[in-house]
Amino acid sequence: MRDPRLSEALPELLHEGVLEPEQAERIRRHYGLDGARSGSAMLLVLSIIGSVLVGLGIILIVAHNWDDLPRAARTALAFVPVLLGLSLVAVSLFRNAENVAWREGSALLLASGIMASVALISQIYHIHGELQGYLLFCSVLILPLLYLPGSIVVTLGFLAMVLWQGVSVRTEHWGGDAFPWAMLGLLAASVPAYLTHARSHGQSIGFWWHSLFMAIGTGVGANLFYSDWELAHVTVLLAMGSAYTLVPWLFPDPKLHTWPWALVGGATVLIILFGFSFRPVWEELLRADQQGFKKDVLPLSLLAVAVLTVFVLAHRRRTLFERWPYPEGLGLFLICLGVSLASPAWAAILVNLSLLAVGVVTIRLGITTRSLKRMNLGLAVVSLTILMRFFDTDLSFVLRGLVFIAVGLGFLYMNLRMLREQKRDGQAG
Amino acid sequence: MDKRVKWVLFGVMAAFQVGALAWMIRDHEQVLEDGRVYRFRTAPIDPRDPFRGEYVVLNFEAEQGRWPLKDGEGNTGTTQAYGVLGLDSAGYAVITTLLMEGPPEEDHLVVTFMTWGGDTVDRIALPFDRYYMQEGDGAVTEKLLQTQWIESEPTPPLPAHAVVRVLNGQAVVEDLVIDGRPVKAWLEEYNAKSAVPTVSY
Repeated sequence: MRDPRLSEALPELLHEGVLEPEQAERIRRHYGLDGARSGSAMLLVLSIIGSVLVGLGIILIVAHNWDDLPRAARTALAFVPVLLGLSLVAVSLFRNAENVAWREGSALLLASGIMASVALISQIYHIHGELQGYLLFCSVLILPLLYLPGSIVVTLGFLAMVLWQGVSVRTEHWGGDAFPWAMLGLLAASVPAYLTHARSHGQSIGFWWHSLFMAIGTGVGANLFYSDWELAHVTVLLAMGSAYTLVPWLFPDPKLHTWPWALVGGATVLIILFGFSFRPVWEELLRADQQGFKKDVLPLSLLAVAVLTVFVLAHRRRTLFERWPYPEGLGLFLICLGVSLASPAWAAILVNLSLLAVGVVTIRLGITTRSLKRMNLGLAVVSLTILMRFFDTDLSFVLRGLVFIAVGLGFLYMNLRMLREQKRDGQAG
Repeated sequence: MDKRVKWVLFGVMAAFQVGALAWMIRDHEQVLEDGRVYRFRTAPIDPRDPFRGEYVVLNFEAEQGRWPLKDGEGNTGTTQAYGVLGLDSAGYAVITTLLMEGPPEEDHLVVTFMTWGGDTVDRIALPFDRYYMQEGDGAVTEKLLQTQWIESEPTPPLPAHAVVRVLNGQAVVEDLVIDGRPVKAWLEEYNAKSAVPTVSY
């Protein structure tokens, strides 16, 4: 509900006489723009920045490795960052339970303290192992902080760390049998924290970021359990992207900040479709022996079932092409897949047509909802589809120039038209 | 949430976090106190870790050799085995045998190796590979152990070995020794020399 620009605009509107002081006061009350609240928001930001800096400072000081100190002293010192963090969390929990700045700051310091302490012990005993082992151990110790005191910044850091650990486990042993099972367990352990956050602060900016990290974490994490990458894997990835764009329909509250799921899913669908708009990509993937499907039948099937469940659940609440066309993108891609078995060239042409269709539908949705952002996204999809054909066709410079001019003029015309309509709507209102 | 429940949950969390660190320390202290000493010939090089700081990678001679495998033991991929510890004629540690089943009663380490279906293993990885040092000391140690050129004549690098304590298959690196002296003594000498002001004309 709160528009940050409003607080800046109100004094100006008052000064120019557009609003009466009583009206301005009513607007302030309606949007909760009182001074105390903005002051606490500033305190929260400062507390987070301060804690991040102090935490990183502790880790860097520990990284120096104070070799001159005796082992017993260093071992005792290893507990100091954690005990300090625990004391601050205790104060936050039992003295300042309602203060978000205290909660975030103290939890961040405890998380940094844990990382510093584990680093210190690793140095003292020359503990071997790659970074992934260190990240895993720290993640397990930090996990409780997602629930007590329940810090959002620590949660984001935790998700980033868990994903880093999983990716490093898989990429260092690609082709081997090392799968990031620990990452999967830790991601699953963070899901209740996500659902609790959705219930308590589902409309906050913090939850927006939480949704983004969860979307990226589960998306990347789910794709780390393959032994190979072939057509079946890409299809399931695209299906996952489509399913992500349906997440807003899974929750009954339309104001819930689930938009990042659609953002990540839509981007995935578009990137894959753009990739498959090139004929050689089809030819290359069809040339493979397609044995990867057999090797990865379990993860592929599980993901396919999850995608199907999302589609079935969302089907009851969503009409065809409602809000965006990405869920329908999966159907278009499956048709192209069928065609590719007969002719990769025709499959590539169909993908291009699908992209144009997705672009046109997005433009239309943008125009009907008076959304400049959505309309420009649709225009970008159509333009990119046309411009990318320059890479695999031998057109003259004159023709290329004319296409660039046409695309540019199209953008200008559509934006000007939309702005004019928005202005007219404003006047009519 | 009720304050008493909150206290209990906080207590459990604090005990888990502090307890895990204490257990980590106790585990390694026990090996340092009760473990048998082995010396592993090594040649360190100097990398960094973003969280844990500077260390030297220990490249051990004992990781190379020729260990025969029984039928079916040489599967493709990474395999773990028990490496039985022994001593060479100069008293340095070597891995005498690789056992797929165990743990054996003799002193041993859990080692990993990669095979592609052959009947022998040429290289194994020991379960310790680094020695953490104070910031700046890693590069100095690496330089100390490189081939020195004196009047265009190369002199071989100084011999180095890691002192490792082993107890029930667990190992903790205790010290890094260069030409018979702990690396710390070398570094103190090096730093003292660097601190002496020089006058140039």
